[in-house]
Amino acid sequence: MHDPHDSLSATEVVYARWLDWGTRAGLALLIASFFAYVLELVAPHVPLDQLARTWTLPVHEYRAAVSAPSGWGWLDLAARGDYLNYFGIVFLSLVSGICYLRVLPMLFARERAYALIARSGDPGSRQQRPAGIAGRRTERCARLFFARRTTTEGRNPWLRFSSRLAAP
Amino acid sequence: MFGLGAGWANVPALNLLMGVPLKLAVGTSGLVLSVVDSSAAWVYINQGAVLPILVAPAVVGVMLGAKIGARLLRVVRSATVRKVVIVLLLAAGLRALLKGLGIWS
Repeated sequence: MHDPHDSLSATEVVYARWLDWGTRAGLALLIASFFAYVLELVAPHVPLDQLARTWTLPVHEYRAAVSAPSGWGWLDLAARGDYLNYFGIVFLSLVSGICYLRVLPMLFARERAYALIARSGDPGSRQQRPAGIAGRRTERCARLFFARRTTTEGRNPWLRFSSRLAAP
Repeated sequence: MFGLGAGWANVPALNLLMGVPLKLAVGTSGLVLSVVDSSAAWVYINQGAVLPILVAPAVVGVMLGAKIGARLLRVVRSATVRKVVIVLLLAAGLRALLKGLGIWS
């Protein structure tokens, strides 16, 4: 049977694996805190009967009616059943970002490989010159890239960094 | 299976206007919306406008639906997905029209 992982890059597989486990953990956290809330195992800040009467109000009126916090104020009420659910929600909203941070070094590593490939087209290098129309175009692009980099890399810290990465 | 949330609008735009293959359009829409909606969640959390009694079951339902949809997408033919998307679009458009005319309250 065809394994879909065969056609995926390592970055995509790592991202998907982290996303999968992250969402599972977030889902478990959310479900556990939700049951603790609705079964009243943990006392809520806003009782359920009062909630049904106030949730049709505009946000600022609702907040005033139930003394609900804004900003990071929910952390002060983290021991309450309803605000306990915020941890699951917040965790799930962070998962995508965490996954991106995880694959970021891999993306940088791939950029380095691209930089090395571009380096082989550098007319100043001792690599064989690429042949054909596409090869000449690559060579022209590489020449422009390196000419531009030579003039600007002294001022641009990012180019200095990428230049160090691309150094053979 | 249809690209999450606003996927019913994203998927036809990617597929019909930009020529992206249908299953790729669904996957792309799902990825984009998951990132965008994660960012948007912080705005509502900051406003104190999140009701866990409604949000938690909705999030669980959407995530389970997304997982089931992603698995189904591998075995369902593109033509079938296209037909379902068209039916959903027609239903959503008809509902919006009826609500606009005051027939659907």
